[in-house]
Amino acid sequence: MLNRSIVSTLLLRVFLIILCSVACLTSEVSAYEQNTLWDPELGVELSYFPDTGYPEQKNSNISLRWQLEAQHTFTESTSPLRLDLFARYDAVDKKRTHWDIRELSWDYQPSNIWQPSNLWQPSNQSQSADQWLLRAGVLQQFWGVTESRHLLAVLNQTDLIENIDGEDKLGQPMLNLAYFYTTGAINGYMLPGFRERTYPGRKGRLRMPVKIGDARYQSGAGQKHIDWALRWQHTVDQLDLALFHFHGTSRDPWFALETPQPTLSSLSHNDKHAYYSPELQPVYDITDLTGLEVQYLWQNWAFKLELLSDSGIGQWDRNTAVTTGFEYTAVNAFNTGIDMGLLVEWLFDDRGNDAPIDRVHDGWFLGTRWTMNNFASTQALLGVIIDENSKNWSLEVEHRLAPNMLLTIESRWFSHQQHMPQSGWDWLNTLNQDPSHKLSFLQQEDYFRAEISWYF
Amino acid sequence: MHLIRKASYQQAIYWLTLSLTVLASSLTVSISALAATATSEQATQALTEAKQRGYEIARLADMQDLGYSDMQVNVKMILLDAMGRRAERSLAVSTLEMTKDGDRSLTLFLSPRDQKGTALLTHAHPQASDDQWLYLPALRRVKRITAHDRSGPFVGSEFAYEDMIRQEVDDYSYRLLKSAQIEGKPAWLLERTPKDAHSGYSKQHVWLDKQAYRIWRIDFYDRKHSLLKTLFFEDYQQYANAYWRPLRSIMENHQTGKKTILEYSGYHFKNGLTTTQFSQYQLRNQTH
Repeated sequence: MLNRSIVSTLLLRVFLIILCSVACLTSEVSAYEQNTLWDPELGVELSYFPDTGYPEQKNSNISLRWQLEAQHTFTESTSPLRLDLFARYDAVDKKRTHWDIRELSWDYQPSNIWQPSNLWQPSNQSQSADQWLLRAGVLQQFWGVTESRHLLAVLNQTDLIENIDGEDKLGQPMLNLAYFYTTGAINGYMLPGFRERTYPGRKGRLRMPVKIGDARYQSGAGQKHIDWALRWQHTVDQLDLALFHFHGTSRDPWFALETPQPTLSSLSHNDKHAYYSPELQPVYDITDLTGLEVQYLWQNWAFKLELLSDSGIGQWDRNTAVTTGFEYTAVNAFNTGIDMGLLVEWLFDDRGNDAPIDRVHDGWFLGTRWTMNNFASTQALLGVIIDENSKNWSLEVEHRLAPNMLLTIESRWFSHQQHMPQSGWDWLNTLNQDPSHKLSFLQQEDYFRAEISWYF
Repeated sequence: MHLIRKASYQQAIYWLTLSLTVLASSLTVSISALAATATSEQATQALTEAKQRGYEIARLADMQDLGYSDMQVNVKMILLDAMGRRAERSLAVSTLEMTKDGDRSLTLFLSPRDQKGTALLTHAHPQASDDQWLYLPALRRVKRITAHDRSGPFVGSEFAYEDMIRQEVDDYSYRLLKSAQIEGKPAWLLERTPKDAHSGYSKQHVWLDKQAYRIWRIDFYDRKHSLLKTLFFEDYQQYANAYWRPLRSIMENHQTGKKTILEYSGYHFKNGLTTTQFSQYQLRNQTH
């Protein structure tokens, strides 16, 4: 709780400072033409879970999402200040009611007019493509090429409470210096401030059967440890390569089991205590991550590889995870105007069954993507991740109902061969004997979710 | 003796007649063969000439745009189906002229609002597959996509991807079919055949006026050689004292009855754009 408030205060402070400077600049440069663009968005989300969960959990839920994108241009020659605010209200889960500055950033790109080469090379082609860019603020940086999981998107913390697919990320304060050349780029990042992963609360669905306690840090600096990362990307014809190294607080925690000393009250056997007694504390260690990203395009095929090597957190020594596969796209399939994609990916983690809870250690992802190319821009992605114990299905559909109204449908079904843990203790005991049971609690969490978004 | 002589005389005449006939027929054959060779030679020559002339016209048409440097335009796309239903998209398109390579273009989606911020970057290559990247704002992800098959529809419109990008002269082989009239102007009718085996078209018929090499109409024939679509260009205006651009273009699909109208506004030439604005590594920075 304490840590959360530190982050919120830090973010709020950054936000206020930038707002103040905006206000100052606005008054100073009012001679220039300025404009602010506002793009608000409201989403109403309904969820339905057919299976009854733990006591206090509900089978259905309603939630509101409000998002605001804005940009303010000071002068025509400078890049605008960009803002992306996010807020959610959840009727059931207090923890899912949260807000975040997804992005609040400003770019500085030195003009290359002073470069002597321009004096005798007027054509735009002969002009040097070398460019610098400095970007500061709260940002999101996506890295990676695969579809089934995003091993390499390591700079931003996952907003897990938003979606378990790991595609929603929290804003990260950072300073990014980029150097671009004709066939590649080098990016350096300085990352002050750390964001904790978000987890559902007691009443929320899609949660572990055990309470998630307060976070702990390996570094004495806690959330104030300054992380850094360096990434080089390069293109050779149809081949794209990227290599990065990150040093700092791992965005992935490991969990320490805390069993409070039994007190008279906790010895009583009611359901509330079955949930409250054991507690998992997320521990964020300092780690070194090295990642490799490869994509090769050949005709209608895209071959993809993601490789992440981690120097080790918690009990783990150096370990490696891989996602690799391909996407084949049939354009205008069967002459219907529909684009059909076929995805196959192999997911691997060399820690085997001991791998963290969100890592498939040896499994396959099969998926198919449909782009209907109709007026409503209907799109669908159906996929399944198969490993020795489970099949986890997912379906995502997007369909525009009106020019400013979008329907999104998402559904997941989890089928496991293992028994459903009856309580937190049951789950922990089973895990002690066979760690492969780590996701067995998901089998009662099948869900169907629909969201209608309005754009104003 | 006499009999023999007579017989031999008759025989001689017979042989003579026969040989003459054979000779004559063979002569006729060879003459007609010669004539045939001559006509086919003439035809080949005419075809080569039509091809050369066609290519020349296409090159001249392309040269009208030489030195445009860069261009920006806003496009309103109106989709209409056979039932009269309607959908709209609005795009901002920037193009950069490249001298040693195909042109580069950046298409920004402004509406519908759920797609706002999406960007499509294309690096065209005259002799090879184009390169293409998509920026997906929801994931803040730049995704390189296969640009191998260009025959698919562009965001649900009647325009295929291959119709949306700037055409390079060497993307096609040409043939001048005839001189014609279009919009009351003397014009050429060209046939162009895509070199790309993955094009959705077997051939296109293109009408350009002789005065300024502006394209007024294109008939698209599908892979089965039947008429698929017709594209009309309307209201040409001259910009920067040199470059002609239409204010409207209409694509009609004859096989489905669907129609897409593009309305152009705010053409701007020579804005000083550079390769920076068209770099895949900086695609994310261009989406505002």
